[in-house]
Amino acid sequence: MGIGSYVVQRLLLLVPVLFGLTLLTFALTTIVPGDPARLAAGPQASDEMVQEIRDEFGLDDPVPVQYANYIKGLFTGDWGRSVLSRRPVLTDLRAFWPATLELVLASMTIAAVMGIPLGIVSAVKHDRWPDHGSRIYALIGVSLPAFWLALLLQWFVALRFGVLPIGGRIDSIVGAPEHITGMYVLDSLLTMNFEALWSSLLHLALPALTLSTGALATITRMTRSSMLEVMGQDYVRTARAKGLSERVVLTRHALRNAMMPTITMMGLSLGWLMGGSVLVETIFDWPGIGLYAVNSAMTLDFLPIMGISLVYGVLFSLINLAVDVLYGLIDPRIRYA
Amino acid sequence: MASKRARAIHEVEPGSADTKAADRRSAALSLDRTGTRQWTRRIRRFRRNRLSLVGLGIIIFLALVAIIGPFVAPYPEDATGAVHMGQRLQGPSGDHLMGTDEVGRDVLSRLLIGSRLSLGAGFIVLIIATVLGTFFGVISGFFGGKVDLIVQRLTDVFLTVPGLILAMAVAAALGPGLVNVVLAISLVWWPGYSRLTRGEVLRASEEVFVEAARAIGAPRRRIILKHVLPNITTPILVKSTMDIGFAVLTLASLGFIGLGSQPPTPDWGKMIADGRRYLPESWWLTVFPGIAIFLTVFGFNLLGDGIRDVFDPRSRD
Amino acid sequence: MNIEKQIALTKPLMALFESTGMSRRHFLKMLGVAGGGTSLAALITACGGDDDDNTQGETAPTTVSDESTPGADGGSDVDATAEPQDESTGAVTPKVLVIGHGQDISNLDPHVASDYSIAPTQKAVYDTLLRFKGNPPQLVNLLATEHSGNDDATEWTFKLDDRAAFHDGTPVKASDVVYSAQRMIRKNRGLAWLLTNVMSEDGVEAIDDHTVKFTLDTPFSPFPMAMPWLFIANEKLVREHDVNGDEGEAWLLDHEAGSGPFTIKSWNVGDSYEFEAVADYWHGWPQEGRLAGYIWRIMRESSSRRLALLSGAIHTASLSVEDFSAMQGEPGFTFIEEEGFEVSSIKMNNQHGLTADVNIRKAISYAMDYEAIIDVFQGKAVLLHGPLPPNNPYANLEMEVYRHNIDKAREHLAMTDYPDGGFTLEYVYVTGVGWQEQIGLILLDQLRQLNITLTMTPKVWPDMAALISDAETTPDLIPVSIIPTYPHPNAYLWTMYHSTQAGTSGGGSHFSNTEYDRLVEEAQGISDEEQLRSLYNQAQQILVDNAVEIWEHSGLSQRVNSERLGGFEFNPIYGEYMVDYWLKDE
Repeated sequence: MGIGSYVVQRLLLLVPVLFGLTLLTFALTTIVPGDPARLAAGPQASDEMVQEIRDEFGLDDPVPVQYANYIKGLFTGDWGRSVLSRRPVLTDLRAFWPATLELVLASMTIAAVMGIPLGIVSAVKHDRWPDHGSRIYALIGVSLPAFWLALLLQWFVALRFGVLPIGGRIDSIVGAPEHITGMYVLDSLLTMNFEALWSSLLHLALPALTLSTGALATITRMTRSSMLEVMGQDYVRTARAKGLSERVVLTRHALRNAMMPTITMMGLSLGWLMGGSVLVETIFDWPGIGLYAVNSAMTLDFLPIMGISLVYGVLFSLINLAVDVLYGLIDPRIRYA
Repeated sequence: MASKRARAIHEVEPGSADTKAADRRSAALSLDRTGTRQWTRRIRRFRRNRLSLVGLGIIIFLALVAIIGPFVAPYPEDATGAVHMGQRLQGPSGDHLMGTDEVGRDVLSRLLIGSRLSLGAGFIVLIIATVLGTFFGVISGFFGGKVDLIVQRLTDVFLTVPGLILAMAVAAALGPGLVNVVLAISLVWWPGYSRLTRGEVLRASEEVFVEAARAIGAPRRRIILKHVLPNITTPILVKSTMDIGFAVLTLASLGFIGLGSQPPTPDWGKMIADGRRYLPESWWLTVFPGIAIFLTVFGFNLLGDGIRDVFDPRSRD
Repeated sequence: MNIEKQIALTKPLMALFESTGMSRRHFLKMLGVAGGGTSLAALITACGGDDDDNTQGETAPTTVSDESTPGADGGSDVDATAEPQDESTGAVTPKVLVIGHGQDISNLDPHVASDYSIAPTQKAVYDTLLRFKGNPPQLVNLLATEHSGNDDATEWTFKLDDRAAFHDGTPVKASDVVYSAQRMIRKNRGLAWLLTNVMSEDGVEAIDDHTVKFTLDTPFSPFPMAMPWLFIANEKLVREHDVNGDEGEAWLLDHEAGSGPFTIKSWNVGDSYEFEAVADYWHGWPQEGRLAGYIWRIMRESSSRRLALLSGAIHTASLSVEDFSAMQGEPGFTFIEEEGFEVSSIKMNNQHGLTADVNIRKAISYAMDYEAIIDVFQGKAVLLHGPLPPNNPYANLEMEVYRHNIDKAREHLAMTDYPDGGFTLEYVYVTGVGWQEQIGLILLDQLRQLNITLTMTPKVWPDMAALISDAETTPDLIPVSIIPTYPHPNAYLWTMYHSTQAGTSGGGSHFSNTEYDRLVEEAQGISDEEQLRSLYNQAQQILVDNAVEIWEHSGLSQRVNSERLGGFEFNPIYGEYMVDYWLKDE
């Protein structure tokens, strides 16, 4: 079947999956012990206040009705209200999203910039020391608990050398740059605010470095194995036989084709990074969706969790779809079964 | 060995409805992966890979720690409720090789006794995830049709959200405690195994020996048990080996947030969270549990990597 | 994201992949993957409601400049020069103070929300009739120029300062005070109990534009001490933002309608809140100087605050015991350690469960290792002497209180249905609060000797507060810390142990005793010290005889300030007054 209809079919399939997701998270809220109305009203509320809240949010309605109302709300932009921040969930998500995006993109960049060359080197010198070294390095990176690494970096690097800050996104005195995308590095670049640019880069350094360790490992290994696979292919041997320099063979022939699995791996790593950002944000006081998720989970504030799950669900599905389409376009041999 | 094989080939009657003969025939063709000769070859390969041996060594060490740990721990009562305020926050010394924590408990003893829980819980998570995942993957891949569609969509739902976030939400909803966290992580992980299994089942179904078995009319259950299952175990084995380490890591992450074992029971992740307040002076409170977690994940990763290399050499060369 | 920005984003990426020789087609598709993510983000942004990320107070904008008009003199307690004084102790030009705080500001509404993280901000943007100053706290005039009460403490009259004006220029009138008090009573949340316990909505009236009279239902001599908690809001402005009868509650969450020395500059939930100074604040500024504004940064871990202090990212913060002692000796900081009014105790369910038996409560009270509690705080805490902290003038120091004594614990246990123990109690504490967990472990260890098992269950505070509200759901043991809202024993003894207060967090023990009630009720109308002392001594004795709860400690407040911070005075009632501070030049 053609790409177009494949995409449409996948998008259509997305719908029941998302519904399933809302069902799952909604089901979670029903097991939560405690009275959500009382939690929302606050510890000092009177019984009448609590009943008012129950009426307002329809908490006395039968569960299917509540679910239906929630779904209806999703389409009208009412994703509920966070008990903790007392703001609409959608507002919170909008406020916290750019911070996570910035962190994830920075981590991905570091992982790619370091990982791809490392993978290439491992492939070219495979089974020799650089290969073993990078393999061990990658394995260590993936095995290190991110939150532990974050703590160690925070205390033994930030404190010891005093150059890098220990948390937050930017120096309070410098202040956030003018809000365009919400990503401080980008915004300060766009508004030529170099003080903010410097401060936000410094603050981004440690969290991004910490988060990138896992993705770095995967990207290195993926690059290495796909390079190896490609280098053993006929057309590479042909290129070599033609007498082209090793460098040309590598870059123009091998690398270009080896990049595809790596790039798809990067796309899929985005998912891993978003999950991993949870604890890194917590330790570095980075006000992103991860920190929002942890705070909401810990205070049993479930409407934000549902919102976050939905956002991630849509994102991942789109990324997966894009990756699959990519694969299909590059390699027509893959049938869209 | 060779003579047995030769005998097998000769004893087969062409056109026979004897399924046993079909098995032998396919074994002879060596497309089937379950021959004994293959195993000795694999073990030899494994032994040659130094890193995998290191991984195996680490795992054996950890297993020993988990099994005999509670018996060799110098202060076992420190893991069941004893506190000694008079000796809190002492650095590593002869009496306390890894120091004492904020209520005077011996860190080494708590690590040793906690290892049983952390590693054991990791195993249980994997067992649940693989059993559930394999079951759903097999029926999904083998039977296809509506069953496949439903299971696929179900796994999609779970796989679209970052695992840690969903596990966190489930664990928070169920309440703190080791059992709830194990359930939460298993719930989030089985879809991955289901996907993997399904893919493998689909692949195996297209192999000659399965088609052969089908052609002679062998019952479906027999085909699944004797032909499909044995041939899909490799990737599942590799993945689950490495995943034990990641399970321990996820358990520790949730423990760090406070969702795991509750005091006075030791939890590696929670020990790091509690010790965080005393950085950098009382560094031993965060460093040692972190090393324990790292070692576990690293060991299982090395082992899993080695196993993968043994079964699927292509990934290395 | 518009096209220019997309191009700006792609240029560096283009350069990177150009070098790998990949085809443009591949590259663009990869971009699509990343773009998908950001486009979705943009979609969410577009779909959301109105942009209220950076909220500006909707009061008239005040410019922060060095040329400020001096306030008028005359009759006020604090001198009103607002110009930076170069001739004083070192040059002081208005600067921005950065505070690191562990708890978020969830709601700024002055009549609905209150806790020790919200209060300083409310005090910064709103004024009250009276305020506290110094340690020990003294009542001092703010919006009021004078006040008086009648003989039986049932009528209180306040006269307003006619200079007072809200941020939009409207003068503060008695009607605003009436509206604020009534709104607080109507909302009946937060600290409304301070008023509702003694008066009803129609008990406050404006005699004229600058005189307010409160008529109470019962005599209450400490009434003026409640006034620092009644924030005066601009009635007109609040009414303008009424949505479906919520009396502006949704708007006041992150906006203000006050007359105070600061206004909101930006509001980033969970991250940081910025305030700028009202240069021509009607009351004037301390004569040394003033702040240009301040930033309230949320830093949940004490260790993060400590690092921030060391790096100069923040100027002041409270630290945990460990971080405080680790920082000692660090140059450039002043270290403040003060006994406050806080009381921490483990509430025991007096009505239901095994703890309803007074002998079990006594056994637990004797089992607790009190000295170990002091170790938890590395010595920076004092043990309570019964329900009151020992620094309270009315603490009955001659009374015998419970201290660690396992033999006596066994004696009392023998008088119960379980002389050999063999039962389980539940200790529910706030998740993440280290010292509550450590004290739980100490108790667990001691109770084991009596063959009593303690299970420890962490929960979030709102959950616990909900459980406490009903005697049947209240857990066996719950640690609660209370800072009284005013420095009078009534704030402890009535607020926590009067039978009508059962179910509030202070009244988590659900104690109910008619004789006790009578004693503290009588004390409410009395101001004579001797009589008060006699009544309160008897009241404390009743509490101890009933082993109502395990009275633990009063923690020392541990505050670290940059040396440049001027005007700091420790305030044992929660909530500092930012108006008092300034930053010296470096």
